[in-house]
Amino acid sequence: MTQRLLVDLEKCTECRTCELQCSFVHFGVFNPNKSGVRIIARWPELPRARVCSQCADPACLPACPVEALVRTAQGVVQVLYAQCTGCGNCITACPYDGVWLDPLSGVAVKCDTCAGRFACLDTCFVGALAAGE
Amino acid sequence: MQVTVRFAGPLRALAAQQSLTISLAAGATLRDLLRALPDLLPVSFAEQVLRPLEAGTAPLTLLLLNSNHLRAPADLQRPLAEGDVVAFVPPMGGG
Amino acid sequence: MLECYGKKLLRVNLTRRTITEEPLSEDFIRRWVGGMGFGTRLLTQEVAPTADPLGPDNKLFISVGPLTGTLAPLFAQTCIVTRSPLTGGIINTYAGGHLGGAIKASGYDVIAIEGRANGLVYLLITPDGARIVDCPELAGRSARQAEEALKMAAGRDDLHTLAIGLAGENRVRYASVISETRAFGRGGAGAVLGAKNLKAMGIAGIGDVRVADQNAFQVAVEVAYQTLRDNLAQPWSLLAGFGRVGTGSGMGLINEKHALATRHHRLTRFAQAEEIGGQAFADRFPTRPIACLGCQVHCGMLHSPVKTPWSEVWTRGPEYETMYSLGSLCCNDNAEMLLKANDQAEAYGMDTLSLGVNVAFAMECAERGILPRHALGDDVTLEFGQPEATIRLIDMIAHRQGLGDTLAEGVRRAAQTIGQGAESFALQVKGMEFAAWMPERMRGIAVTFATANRGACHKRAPIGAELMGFLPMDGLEGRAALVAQIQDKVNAIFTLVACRFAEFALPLGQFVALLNTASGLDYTEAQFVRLGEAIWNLERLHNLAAGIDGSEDRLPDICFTVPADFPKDSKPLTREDFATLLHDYYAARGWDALGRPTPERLALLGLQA
Repeated sequence: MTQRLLVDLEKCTECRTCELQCSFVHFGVFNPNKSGVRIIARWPELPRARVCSQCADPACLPACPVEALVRTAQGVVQVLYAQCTGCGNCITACPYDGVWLDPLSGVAVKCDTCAGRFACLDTCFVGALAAGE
Repeated sequence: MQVTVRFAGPLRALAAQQSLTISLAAGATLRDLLRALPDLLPVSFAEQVLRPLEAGTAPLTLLLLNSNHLRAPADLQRPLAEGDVVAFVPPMGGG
Repeated sequence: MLECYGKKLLRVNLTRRTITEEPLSEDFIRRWVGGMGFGTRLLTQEVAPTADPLGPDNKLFISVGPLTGTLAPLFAQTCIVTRSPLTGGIINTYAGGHLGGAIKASGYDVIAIEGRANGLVYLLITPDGARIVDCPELAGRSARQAEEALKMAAGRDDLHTLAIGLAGENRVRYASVISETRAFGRGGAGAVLGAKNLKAMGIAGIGDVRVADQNAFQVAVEVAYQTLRDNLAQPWSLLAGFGRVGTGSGMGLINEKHALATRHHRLTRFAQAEEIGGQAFADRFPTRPIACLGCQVHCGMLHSPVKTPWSEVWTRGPEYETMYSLGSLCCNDNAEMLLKANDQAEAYGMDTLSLGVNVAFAMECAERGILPRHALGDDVTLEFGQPEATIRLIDMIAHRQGLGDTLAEGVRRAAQTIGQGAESFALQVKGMEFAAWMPERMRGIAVTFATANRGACHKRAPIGAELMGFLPMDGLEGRAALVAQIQDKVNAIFTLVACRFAEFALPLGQFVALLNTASGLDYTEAQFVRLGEAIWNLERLHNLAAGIDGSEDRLPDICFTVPADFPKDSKPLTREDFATLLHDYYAARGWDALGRPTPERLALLGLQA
């Protein structure tokens, strides 16, 4: 089964280091909009996490008019940035809020599991992140 | 002579009490006190604090004598006096 | 080169209602680096030392630094520099959380607030533009309510905010600026914004934050991460303790060291200290740690919900400093009261340190018979250990009602108003109320309280070393020089903008490595500390010109009265001790006998007299 990023909201301290790590690893810059995981505070309640569920039957794929979304052999859904036009159809189609637009570059951004490496895990000192099903 | 022993911070839970008074022979040292305490405290306190202190494997900064830290292991040989206060405190490192 | 900077200042003139962008030159950035450096240089250049802190000529600079919004751990702080209505001198104050990241993402290194709006307004800065918006409906609202209103108006969940509460609007001299779950606490920045009629600011950005050398920066970050991991893994790690129960984790130790000011400094130990320490709050109330951006220490303890006899609250805190000021200093052992008071301070926007010292001052005055015991009403006695008196007085101060109006001025002015010898025991230096440490007990604190440019400040002191006995608390040898070094070093790291706790874990070389790899600059450790010294001297020159001279480098008389429970094996501070320390301090700083930077020292620092 496809591995996806799991966030334990009860352990999460909302430091958002995962966001910084993700955008840096993928794009060489720090920008939460370029991170495949988003943590949104909702004090005093627990935070909300937005991250792609790597659906077996993704709603985003057929929604894309330019075939900029593909599903790898490992079942991970990836954005082909060169093809993405930023139309936002995938964002509307996703029932989990798991993909969003980076307004600066105009492309859709989502978790790609770093080809199964999950680079964010190492930067979470409290163990709130895990790879699982 | 009477010596007061206090427990601060997480040492309180470990000792299962806030403070106690102990009677010691005149001329008793801090080391003598460490040896007399296991009878009055939970086993875990002796294991985690008292024995390592005696053995030199726990930081001396676990102990205060009249609110001062000890300067050297030799200080454990210092004789106590009537009314002295010995405190077990968290030895916070780094700041 | 300088990729980690936006290289822009946003200047907001509230009088003319104009918002303009200005470039920051490479020379300026290289010379002042960021944070406290930027704010101090700009304020001392643009605002006269005699400008009324609550007048339209004062300015308030909000600055981030080269490491803000990057993976560098413990660099989430934002710096505010302004002239303080409490001291009449320059103030720097900090808040963590997530505001700094949003400012950086907007592309600004500094936001300058000047003038005065002709009605209550808020400032909204988003990728759609920046605008000043009238908000009379927010008058009197809590800081949190104002922040929520701004988030609703902006309609985006990446908006981060700061706001003042009623205390800032009422120009309480120690009003703070609240930023979500954090606060720019000390020195009355909230009153400055209140006087400018700026209720709140919301900011969101979509920009990329870059570094000069990605690979080298990544290496420097990994080194810092490993250092932090090792530190946190130590048994009894201070930072790990902070991460479990907050900054009050050391309460037991401080109390047994007889270093916890109790009953307005009459005592050095509080019998009920552990009932208001960090562990007590974690044991008794729902608690979860929340962190500032990119921080692995997560020292913020969020308690929700909490039922108190006054109301149900949720609050982040209290900090250790608050456990002193509204706790032991007032002989309050009531944890629910501390949570309620912390919530009041967040809602009204007031520095909990100054607030607590003012409350304790009132209790001390009542005990001495120079204030009436029913000054707060017939149904409550103004006395130590009286929770109702504390909560009532906090409301009165924020509203400037009755005795609250006198205390809203701060203990220095209140003591002048009340007279009858109150000035001898008012816990303040240069108008700034004491922080949670005892100059009577700790020589480093004695020096730094007396000499810090922002008044009685604890952020630049060898607290750990003195508390843990690595340095004798009552030792004089080399103590003043050490304090001067720490003042310089902390100033330097506050340009980046580091959290104070970063310096507990990371050696100086790592700060410099992170700075250089992010910015492309080539600071040496010596140059970096020298920058901190230059900033210190800029502040000193500004304060001297404001009329705050060497005669203000002193402690109140109460510090030379020996508390009844002073430990028998330690020496209390004497006036001779203090004179020695001050003399050593001026010498270490290269200042003259009156505490003025000499032309030689200024030339060494690249500054003009």
